[in-house]
Amino acid sequence: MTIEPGRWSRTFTDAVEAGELRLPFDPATGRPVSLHDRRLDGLGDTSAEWRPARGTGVVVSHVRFHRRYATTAGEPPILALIELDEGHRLVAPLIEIEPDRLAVGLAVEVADRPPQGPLAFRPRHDQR
Amino acid sequence: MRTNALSAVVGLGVSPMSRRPIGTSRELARIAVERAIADAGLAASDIDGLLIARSPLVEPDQIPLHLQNDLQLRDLGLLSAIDGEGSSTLQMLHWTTMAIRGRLARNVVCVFADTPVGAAGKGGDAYAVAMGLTGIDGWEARQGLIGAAAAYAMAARRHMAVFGTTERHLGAWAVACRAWANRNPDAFLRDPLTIDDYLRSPLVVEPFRVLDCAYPVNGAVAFVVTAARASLEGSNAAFVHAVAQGHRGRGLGDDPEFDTGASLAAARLYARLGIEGRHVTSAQVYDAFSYVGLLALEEWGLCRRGEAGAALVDGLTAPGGALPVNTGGGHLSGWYLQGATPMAEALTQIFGRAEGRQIFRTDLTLVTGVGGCLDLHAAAILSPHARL
Repeated sequence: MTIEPGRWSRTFTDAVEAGELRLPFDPATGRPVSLHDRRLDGLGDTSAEWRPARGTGVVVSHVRFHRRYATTAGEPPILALIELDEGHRLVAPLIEIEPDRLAVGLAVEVADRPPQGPLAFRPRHDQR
Repeated sequence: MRTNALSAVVGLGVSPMSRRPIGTSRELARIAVERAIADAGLAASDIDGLLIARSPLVEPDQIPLHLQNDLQLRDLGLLSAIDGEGSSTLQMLHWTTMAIRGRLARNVVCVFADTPVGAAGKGGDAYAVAMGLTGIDGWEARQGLIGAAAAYAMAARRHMAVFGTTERHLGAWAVACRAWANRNPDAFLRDPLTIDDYLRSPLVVEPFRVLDCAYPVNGAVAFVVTAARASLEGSNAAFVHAVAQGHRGRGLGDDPEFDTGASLAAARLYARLGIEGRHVTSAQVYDAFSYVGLLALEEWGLCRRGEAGAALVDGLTAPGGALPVNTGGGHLSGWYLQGATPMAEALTQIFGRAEGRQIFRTDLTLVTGVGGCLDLHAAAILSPHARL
């Protein structure tokens, strides 16, 4: 069952596909808005301000695939839950890392990537 | 503690179960309902309510509300489907109890059915879904986080990092459940299992091995709920003394991997009875993965935070342990029919039908359900006693 993305999700993914990671903030308070919180999706009175992210954060959890479903056979084997410096959390592939260096707390940054495909992260330069 | 029960479960019906196709979900649901009504000593004409729970992974018409017609249940005052994913079975008990106490219905039958296992005998592909952790539609699928096991493994790894939980702790859950399953002739995986066997089993999505994952079957479970009456005591009756839900929601600054709505539900559940988790005498908990069982011990107050793993290694929940948990083998070794499995085992124990695995400390039996990726929680306290 595929869900048609709403305006909130499209705003986020359209920016990613354009090569930018943008995150929502409340224009009234300047505080970050959770990606789960859609009250400022622009259909009401107020819209979130989508600011460019620094593209850095830390790993808060990670998994390594040893088996894959047929639909995802080509995906990278390591995925991480990353808390960005702005406070938002994202699931993303972690690349350019040996599995034995995987650790919660590892500092990461957005990796160079093609326009299409997953938004991947890699260990920050000073951690490599 | 001086409380009267809120309602009573008086019949359990279980369809044939298999790792092969044996019928549609709708057909298996009908069989389970028929058996539950008969087990309650009732006729179809005595039933005035029907609640249905389906797998979130199937289209609703696989078990439509027309199940009423299949069963020729006429003139119902309550008919609905509950959409709480793995918490649905306990949510059905919650809604049914409220309906009965509100005199909207007298005898309500609740049913869950699912047929995730295809002709190839594999159930895993049915769960090859992307669970939404981020809040952006389609994000996890785009990023490659496919499969319930992957999402739950992410939560497990977080607990391991924060609290020092180890793969041996996860394995201890699987080993304890298998030891119970060994005593259950209806369990699907009964061969003895050691921690070394567990550690040698193949990794699926690290930190999960194949033995950390539920064993799905095709089948259905139904039960009949009625008003609590002291005259039912001593017969096949599991009295519902408390029932509660807890759905924390997700936002910034949360740790939904281990700080879940279960602890909210636990507070509501125990407050009604004036008890704490340490007073629970046995538990049947939702454990689609080993970590979910381990976390349940902490979230429902049966262990302190971060201490469940060590308690499992010490045999807390295994046969002979101080707290019998998942005495049919649970979802990992018994059978996985989402939240219906814990409820079926709780009723089997309280009805005194568990034979070689029968326990006697069912006075305060905790039964739990979990939906989403640790997002939705519902639970009940059941007892063979009408008054506590």
